[in-house]
Amino acid sequence: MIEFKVNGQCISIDTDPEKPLLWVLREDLTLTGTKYGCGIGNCGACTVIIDGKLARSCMLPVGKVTGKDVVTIEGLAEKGTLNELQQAWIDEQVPQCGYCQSGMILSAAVLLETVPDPAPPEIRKKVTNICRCGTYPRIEKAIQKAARLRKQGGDNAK
Amino acid sequence: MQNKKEEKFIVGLTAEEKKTGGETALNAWLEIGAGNSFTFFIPRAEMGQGIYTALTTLICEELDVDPNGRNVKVTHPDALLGEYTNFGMLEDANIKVEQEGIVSWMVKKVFNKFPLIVTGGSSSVLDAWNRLRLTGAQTRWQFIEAASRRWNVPAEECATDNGFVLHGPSGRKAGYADVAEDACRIDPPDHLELKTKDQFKFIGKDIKRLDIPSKVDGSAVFGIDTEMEGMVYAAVLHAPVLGNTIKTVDADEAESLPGVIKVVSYDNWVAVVATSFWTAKNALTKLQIAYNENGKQPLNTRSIRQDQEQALAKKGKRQITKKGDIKAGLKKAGRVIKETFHTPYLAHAAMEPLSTAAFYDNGIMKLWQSSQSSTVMVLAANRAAKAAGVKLKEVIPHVSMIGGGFGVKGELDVPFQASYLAIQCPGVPVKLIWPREEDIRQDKYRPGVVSRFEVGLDEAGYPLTWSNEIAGQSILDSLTKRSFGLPIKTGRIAKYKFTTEGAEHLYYSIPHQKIEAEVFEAPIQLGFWRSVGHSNNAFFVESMIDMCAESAGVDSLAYRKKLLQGQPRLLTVLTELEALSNWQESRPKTHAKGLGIWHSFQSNVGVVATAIHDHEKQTVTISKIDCVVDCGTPIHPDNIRSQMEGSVIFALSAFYFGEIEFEGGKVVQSNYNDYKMAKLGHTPEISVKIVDSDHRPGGIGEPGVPPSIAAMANAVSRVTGKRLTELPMTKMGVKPGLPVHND
Repeated sequence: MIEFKVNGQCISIDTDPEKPLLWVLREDLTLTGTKYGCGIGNCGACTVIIDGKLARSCMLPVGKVTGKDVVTIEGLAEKGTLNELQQAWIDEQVPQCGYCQSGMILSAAVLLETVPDPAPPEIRKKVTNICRCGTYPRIEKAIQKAARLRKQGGDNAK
Repeated sequence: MQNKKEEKFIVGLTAEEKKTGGETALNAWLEIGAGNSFTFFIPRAEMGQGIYTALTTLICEELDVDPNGRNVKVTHPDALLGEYTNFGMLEDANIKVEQEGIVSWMVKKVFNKFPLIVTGGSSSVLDAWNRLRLTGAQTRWQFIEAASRRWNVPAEECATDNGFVLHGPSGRKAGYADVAEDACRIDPPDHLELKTKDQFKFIGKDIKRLDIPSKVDGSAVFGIDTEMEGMVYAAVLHAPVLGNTIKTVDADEAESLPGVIKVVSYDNWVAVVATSFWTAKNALTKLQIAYNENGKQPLNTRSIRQDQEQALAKKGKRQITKKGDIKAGLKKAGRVIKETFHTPYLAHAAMEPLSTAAFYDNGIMKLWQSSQSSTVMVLAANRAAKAAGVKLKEVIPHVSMIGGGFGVKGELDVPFQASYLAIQCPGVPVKLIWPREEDIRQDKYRPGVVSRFEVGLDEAGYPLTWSNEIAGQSILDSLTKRSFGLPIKTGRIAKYKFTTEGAEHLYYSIPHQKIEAEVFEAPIQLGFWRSVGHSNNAFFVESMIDMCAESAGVDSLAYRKKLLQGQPRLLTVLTELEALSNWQESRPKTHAKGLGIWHSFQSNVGVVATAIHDHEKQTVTISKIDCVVDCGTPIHPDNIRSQMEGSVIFALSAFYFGEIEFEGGKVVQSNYNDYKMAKLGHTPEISVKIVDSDHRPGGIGEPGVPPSIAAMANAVSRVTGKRLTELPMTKMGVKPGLPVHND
């Protein structure tokens, strides 16, 4: 039995510990928002957040996730309220086909945790996922917008 | 079939369908439910081009329903209905069904019987523009008529407002849903006057895309996301040497692995079915496979180049265009310039790998696929049934959202394989996924092409004669052979169509023209790659025009303006582009602008690229793109901008990195690590301007790609002082740089 948390829920699963987390999420837990793109950790479509850090789930054996806290795109919204990034993604009308966007949004989420107000060079350096539709200009704008939304949210809460 | 709730009524059906009652529910464009909720059935696949929103907007404009209302939903219908045929796509073959006449009548008759439901060729809006607005208008008319009869008031006194019929004098109001049952029993008139542009409420406005909310929270279901109780998973491997087939498979070791259910082989592929895709993919490596050799010399990139050169050197090539008299023109020409250009083979590499889920039970085949054509899905299932020796009673194709299509997701092979596998596993849903390596190595490639020019210039340096010879593999021949076993006869114009596309009809005014083409055979499968032949020919033609301008010592934009007299739409694009790009601005020697302008898919797009040469780092960076698009009446401006941005990046990937190579009969590249894509770090600053227009809308998915590649090539040629005659750019010995953004 392999035990870990996904989006706050405890998971206990009987599977080959070598099976990559990606396929456990998709096939066993039906969390299909995490995508298969390349299978070699290159494109970033399979990106998830594990204990606050980015991970490419297509190369990560599920056995190594034991006891850890996994966040997928399905778990980003809190109590039905979209995360600032998701809202900015809608405001800026970012997605085209949308297939890479789960990984993009999660990559951006970790970036904003470490750099709350990233300038374009920082964004360009840190977001290395592939979008074949070429939504990059809007991704860049949406990340900056989300940073502003977070700042406003934080200020309002004070 | 889809479950229909009792309280729903169907409107917008033809009279014949209405007679058959409730079960024709799927055959509609629009379903209206309790609480005045609207579900639009859009028979074009949403692959990021924004078609769900664009077509819904066309209906909504005349129907008078806000497409961004909370009560609006959109989905792809399962039914193969005649009226879902994409007649707009046939216009590419010069069949215009909107014109009255015997040909048009017959074509409609045939395709109403055998629906051609396909998303491609940037044709969806072109096809829908008149008929979907008319459908909306007729449906609105039905609601008004039903309400006015119920209220016993003249229909002329009724108006509508966002899903409601209003009777001003009495102040009465009814939701469309309240009168839907009556409305669907009233036949609307065949013709109704449609709104003029100044009356539009939604067309031309920035409607929010209907598919986007589902794409930020993981809830959008792509074909590859189909999951069902008891599902098993298949991974496929094709004979790596193109053209070979499977002789024998020793599956003992693979079948002994835990989780492996079955190994199935057919023709040139073998698939493992297992309890997980990961297990299936791993098991593929344990198969011992012997192949039937295709009997040809193993191809490689050099041999393909030789085939191209031989084809080009051949006498008696197919003449595509002839105008004036080249020989006579050449006698008057002061100067003759010659150049030969080459392009590489390119893969689609959509982010969602090829996949189809299939469920075969009791003679019924259900398919779930991110497909550009439900017609092809049904054809594929029937083929597979024939190959497997079973008879199908029914095929139900569910078209899911597509994680990037670009032309590859209308192919027969994937749904064929999935259906074939499902027949071997009756009663069990099977999901087939092509591993990324297969997706790249067994793609239907954009062919590499060679194009040779000889241009005679007059005293002022403008072309008097234009000879262009083009050679490559035939896309259409490859497609008809693999899909229908029907090669196209040599000499038939269709065989050359996608080789010469865009080059065969120049918009530049040149008195003497001769355009010839030759095709050759090779065991490489070819397909439609975003903008197809235009992606090659825009690079060739626009590079050559720039060379002519350089030779004449004339500014390349001014040079084109002179040659485009008589092409008002292209001239407008050029003029707008001149302003948008600040074309005349002075710039350091390390910076240069390059131009490309192209007409394709009924739209006109001009692009200016700015390139920066860093001599020290030996890099060239495309730092800025200015783009002007005239796609006729703009339906959804923000989405037009989005498609242009995407086209620029798509072009940039091809320009910087794109190349599929062959060695020993196999494809060299296999994944995103060796078939590279432009990333955010490479992204130039992009400005897009849309020309306001009253023309019939053209496409927006593809026409931005050809001029972008051309503009980048011209900018890089200028900044390096070396004419780029071959793609990708790295062939010149310079690497792509990263634009610096200071804001």
